Amino acid sequence: MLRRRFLLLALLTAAAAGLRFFRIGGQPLWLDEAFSVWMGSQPPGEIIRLAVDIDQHPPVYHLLLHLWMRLGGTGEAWVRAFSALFGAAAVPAVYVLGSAIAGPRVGLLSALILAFSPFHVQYGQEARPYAMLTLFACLSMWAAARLLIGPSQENIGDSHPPAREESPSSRWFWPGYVIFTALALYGHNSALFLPLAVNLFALGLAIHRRRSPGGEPFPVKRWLAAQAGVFLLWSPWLAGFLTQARGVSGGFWVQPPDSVVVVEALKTFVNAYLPDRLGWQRLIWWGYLGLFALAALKFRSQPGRFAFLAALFLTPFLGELVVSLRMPIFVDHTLIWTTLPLYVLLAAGISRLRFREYVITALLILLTVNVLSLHNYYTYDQKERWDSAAAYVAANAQAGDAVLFNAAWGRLAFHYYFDRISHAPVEPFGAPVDLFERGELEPKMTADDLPRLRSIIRGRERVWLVYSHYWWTDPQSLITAALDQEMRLESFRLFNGIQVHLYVRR
Amino acid sequence: MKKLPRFYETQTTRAALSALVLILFWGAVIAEYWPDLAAAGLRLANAARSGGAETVESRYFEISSTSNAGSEQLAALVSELEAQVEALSDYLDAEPGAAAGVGAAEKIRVLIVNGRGLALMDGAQITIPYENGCMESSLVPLYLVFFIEGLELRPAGGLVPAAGFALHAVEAAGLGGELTRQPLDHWAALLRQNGDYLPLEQAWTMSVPDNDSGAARFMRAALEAGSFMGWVSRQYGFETARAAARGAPAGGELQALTGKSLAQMEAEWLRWLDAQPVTPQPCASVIDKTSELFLLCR
Repeated sequence: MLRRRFLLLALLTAAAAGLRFFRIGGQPLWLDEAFSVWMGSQPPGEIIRLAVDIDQHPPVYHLLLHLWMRLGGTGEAWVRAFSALFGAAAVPAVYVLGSAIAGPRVGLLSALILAFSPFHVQYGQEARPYAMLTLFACLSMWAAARLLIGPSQENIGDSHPPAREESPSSRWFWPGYVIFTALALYGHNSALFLPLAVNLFALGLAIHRRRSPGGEPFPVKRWLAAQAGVFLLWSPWLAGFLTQARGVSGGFWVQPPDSVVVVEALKTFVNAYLPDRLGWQRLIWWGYLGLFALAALKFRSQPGRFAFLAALFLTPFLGELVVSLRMPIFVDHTLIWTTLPLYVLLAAGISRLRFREYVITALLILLTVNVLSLHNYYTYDQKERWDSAAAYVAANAQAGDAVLFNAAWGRLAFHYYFDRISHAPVEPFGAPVDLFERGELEPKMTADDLPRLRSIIRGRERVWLVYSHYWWTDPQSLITAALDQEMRLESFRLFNGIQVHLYVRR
Repeated sequence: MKKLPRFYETQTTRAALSALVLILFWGAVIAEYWPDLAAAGLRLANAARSGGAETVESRYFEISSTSNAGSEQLAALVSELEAQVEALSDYLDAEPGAAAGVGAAEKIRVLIVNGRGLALMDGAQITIPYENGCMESSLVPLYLVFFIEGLELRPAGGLVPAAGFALHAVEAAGLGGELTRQPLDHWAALLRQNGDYLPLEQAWTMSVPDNDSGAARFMRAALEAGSFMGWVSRQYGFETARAAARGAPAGGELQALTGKSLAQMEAEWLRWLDAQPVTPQPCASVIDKTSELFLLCR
């Protein structure tokens, strides 16, 4: 039985790896990925300094990516493979999480859902920290589950000894929780909600146990010591985090969430890229809701486990929404790690179907829907075409041309490709300012910046404008208006996510 | 006493129910996906015959396809596009001084690709996505006006008046159905009723959008500009509307031709619009939810 289970888990992990490596280098790096590659190319000390000064994420991903790129270079497939490996490794991790909460059957089903999740496949193919964050968060949740709610009843007598009996192996969950929680916190700032969620649950559990006569006492001291350990490990980043938080509160591209954004985020978590062509799509969403309802039924006799999963999902989800009332930070992919308790719930819902025929039917439908969604993702998901934009400019540039970037860091993505194919002596400039000159990643163009822009274009015969993300960086179209005034638009090309304008002297 | 199993607990019922659900589910999936499989076969045959992208002959177009669309679908597209060009050229040439019709000029390049979304245009070609047996070409008549008129595709500022003029031309040429769904004046009235109206001075300087909310805002601006251009054409003559479409983003051409500022003309037009007995339909009732254009209703 155990052998069969591990064989299935190995197959699921292999399938997850296959899906994450499939066509991994097929698309060009987009802006954020190019930024990651640029950050990873800096010396480690500089990565930490830049993370504090200009980035909105902790430095660990870029430090690890630095080592990874030293092994295999900066090609698209290689830098994304780093995420793919984390993504595949999360499959056995969610298996142990699901097993700890509701037994090995739910563990395997959770692993299957994660392996085929289009949302996770997408971020397993992106040179950003989200796949790494998911793995660390999953391991932290697993350790927390073993410490707070013990092994699943279905596990007892199986392969896992109960944690609360302090078997030699269960002692490792304490340092495991501390280390993986700290790693998750170093993976992404949104993981701050992870210890918050776990502690909210722990608080509820402690109160419940105190009120239950004869119940097992909550290990308050030990638990507080673990939290202190997490804080100690994370505290070197505290100052950097506060600096980043100040930067984000001063202006950030994320828009205030409305009900559509919230509903779409939930749909993305459960089944991203579900094809619109399925006219009966609504039935699928009802099916998912039915599975969540079945999960609630399954945990009827173990409400603590349900509460644990609910806390892990709802605390960060609602937390980001609450913070967004003051400064918008609600973005679906920053909450990718909160999908893990959702997947365990879905798996529990499927397992509640009880009869093998029904479980297999539900699984086949789920797999079909996910495969169709993955087909949708592989076929239609388009990243920004910095490669085509750079190739177009390279093919038409002349010596002395100026190249203006309204999103100054777009220069990183542009030059990632331009430098490979051209040595044309063009002069890059940022508008409003050059790269990181203002200590901001995405400075906005204002009327005060126009004199500098005019001084750049004055006396030039030809100016290229590589125009991207302008809804945030140039919302008043000041750059194009200024160029229109002084020069003539000679050509204009649209690439996915990028416009390339060539202005010539009138 | 032994408890009898419920009807869904017997092995036969379980197997039958499971099989039924799976047959229904997969049947529905295959019904959606089968056309592509058939088209893929056609495309393979075409690719084997022509050694790559398929090209189609046309009087006005240079059409190539890398999509799964079959020859019959491409031929139907050619007929549709040619009819549209002729209708638009008729309307646009009807006025003295109109730009040369397409027939004499360089052919318009059209590329059909597998994909979803709305048709796109850059300075060089129109790209039409094809999926599931359908070509999403509802925006194409609009783009054809740009080509026929030689309108500049201004990325920032000046695009809305050009798009408005094009929408007006499409409506006037009788091609509005698929694209505008209800008369442009109705759209403008609806936007005013819903509080979505954007003053023309702002609309005139809008950039090409790069996200969904920007695209919806841009579409609304273009629809009200379409109504405005129709009014300008009727009130001040076709050439005035044409000049406004080609003019400077701030409406300077209109001022030069009519002696009135954009804001003055906007006020006149809105007074006229408010006096019309129009009963606009809600957005969601004229645009199907599955249409890419439904973005407008969000």
